[in-house]
Amino acid sequence: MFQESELINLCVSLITLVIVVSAIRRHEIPGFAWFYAGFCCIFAAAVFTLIEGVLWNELFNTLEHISYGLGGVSFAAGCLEIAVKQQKRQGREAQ
Amino acid sequence: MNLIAFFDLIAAAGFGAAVLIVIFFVSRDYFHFQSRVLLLLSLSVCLLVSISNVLEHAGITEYFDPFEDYLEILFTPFFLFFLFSVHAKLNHDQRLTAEAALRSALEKAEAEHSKLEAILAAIGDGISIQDRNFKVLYQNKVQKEMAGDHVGKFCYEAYEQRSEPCRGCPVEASFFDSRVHKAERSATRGNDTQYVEITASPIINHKGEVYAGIEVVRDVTNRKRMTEEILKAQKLESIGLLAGGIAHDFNNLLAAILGNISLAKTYAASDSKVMAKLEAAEKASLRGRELTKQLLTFSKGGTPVKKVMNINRLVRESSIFSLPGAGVKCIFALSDGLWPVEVDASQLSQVVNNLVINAGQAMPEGGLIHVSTENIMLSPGNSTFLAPGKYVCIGFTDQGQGIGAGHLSRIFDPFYSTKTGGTGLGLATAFSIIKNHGGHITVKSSPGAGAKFQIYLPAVEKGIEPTPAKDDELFTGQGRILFMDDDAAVRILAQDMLQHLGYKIVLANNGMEAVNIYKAAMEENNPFDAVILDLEVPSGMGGSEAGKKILTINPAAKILVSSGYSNESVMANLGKYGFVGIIPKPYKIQELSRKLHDYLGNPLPKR
Repeated sequence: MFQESELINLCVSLITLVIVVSAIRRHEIPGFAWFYAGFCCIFAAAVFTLIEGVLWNELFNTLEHISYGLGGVSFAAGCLEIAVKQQKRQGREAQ
Repeated sequence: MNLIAFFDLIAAAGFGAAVLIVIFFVSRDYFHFQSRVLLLLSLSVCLLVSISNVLEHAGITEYFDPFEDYLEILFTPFFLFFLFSVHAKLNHDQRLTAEAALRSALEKAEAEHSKLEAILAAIGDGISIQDRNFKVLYQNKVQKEMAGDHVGKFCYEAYEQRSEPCRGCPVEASFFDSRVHKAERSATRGNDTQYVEITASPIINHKGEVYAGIEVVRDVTNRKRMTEEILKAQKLESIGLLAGGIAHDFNNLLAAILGNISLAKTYAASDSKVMAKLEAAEKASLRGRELTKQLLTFSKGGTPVKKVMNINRLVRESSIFSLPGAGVKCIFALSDGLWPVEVDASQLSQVVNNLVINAGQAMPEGGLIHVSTENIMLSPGNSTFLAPGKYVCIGFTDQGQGIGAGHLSRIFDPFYSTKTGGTGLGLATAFSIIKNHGGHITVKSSPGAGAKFQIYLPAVEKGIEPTPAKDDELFTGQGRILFMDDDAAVRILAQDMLQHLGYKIVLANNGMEAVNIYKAAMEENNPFDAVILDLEVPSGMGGSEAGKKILTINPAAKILVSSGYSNESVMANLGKYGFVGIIPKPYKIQELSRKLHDYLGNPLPKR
């Protein structure tokens, strides 16, 4: 059924999700859309991990890994965006 | 490779790429150290999980699978702390930016305030701001110097020592109708009255409501005094014109009377009754001459014939001479090393006479007149309105009953007198004489406290000129004299006088005739030894123009001018016009004889 670590992970992720959603709604950190998306993917993976133990194991396991893959891509995109922004800012400052 | 392993590979590649980008391309400027560490930890956890998944689903090893779940748990707190860290950094940066902006705004405001304060101080007017309750909110430096520091107090209490706003307050009026209002106020401190002009304007807020008022206070005492001086000068000028016109005609009549008397005296025996009557008539004529002289001096024609001198002796002698009688004495405090001044001695003597006589009359029971002379340096903006520089100040202070404020302002007006039988010309003439000398005369007095007159005369750097000795002898002479005057009585008198003195005389009644006679005489090789020309000829060529023409005919001609006026600049600048001397009208035969002896007997003065 459910593994203890998966339940703890979900609980912590849920609390974090609330904070993240609140931050998104209040636009507290601008330019963090990719990071939020990446976190949501990781959170989705945690949820799918939990569900795959009781229901349609194959499907949710696949969804879990897809979510993880999308999470990786999102974080990479987020970091890339920051690097590009930083380059532009340095270029502007140099001028 | 199965589908799950493929997505795990993508995840590992994504997280791996993210880690590399953060390490190599994201600098500390963007994320500070803690944020970067936390982000790297989050990404590293995910990278390890992904690698473990790849290894597992690619069928390589399941060794790392048990650690996966624990690693996954770590990701969320790391990511959460990363968010907090970034958020804290953002807040910190925003606060720093806001603080910098605030500091910059404060510095700008300080600079603006200093600039405004400097401008307000440079204006030279007192500026204050008052709220709707007349409480002083602000005073500039000048206002504080004028009225003291009263910020926070009610203006009517602070400035006027009142318990309620002043009547006719311009600030109150501007509160009422939101317009600019002006008012003038005066304040007396001791003997000095200060006049101020107040301009009040409302300060209106964005709702259109007046919430305060600006009061600009300008000291207009000097402006007011200057206006009074100008009015006084204009009044003197217009009355002077009238008086001068009358005096000129009267002077010609006196010339004939006095001349004839002095001539008649030479015919009469010294101990006869006729001589006594002639002397009485001469005395009366001389008094008339003095009055005419006063009028002429006071009028526009009174240009002084100046000499550089130390005036101490003149002041002392004239003061003693003018003392009205017993009981009144002069105490002198005459400065040693007094700077020389350029004055007409007889005119200054007249001024001293007038002031000492007035002082004596102010003390019918007797008293002391303090007469002083001193050197004074006047600074710019002094109360006399004279140009800054070196001046000699003559002071006359009496112990009389003083002069009331009502009389004080009119004391120099011509024909204004509070004395029975006074002509009202004494002080007006004194004022006119001193003005014509480029000086100024002031008076300070209050009832019961005596009066103090002060005369300021500009000092000069020139050397003192020697004073010729008086001589009443009759000098006879020889030679031909051409005499020009438009008045027949004066001509006949001059003919009699000059013939009596031994001269041959030819008469002309205007300048043109004189020039023609002189020219004809030169052509006949029978030149005149001297020419006497009247300056004022209303109906023909005057003496100054005739003299100029004669000098073109004979540059060595000895020309003397005669006039009742100390006319314009001619009498004061004889050398410039080419004339050798002057004979002021009316004159006695002794004066005429001496002048002719001096000028015909001596070499020509330098032209």
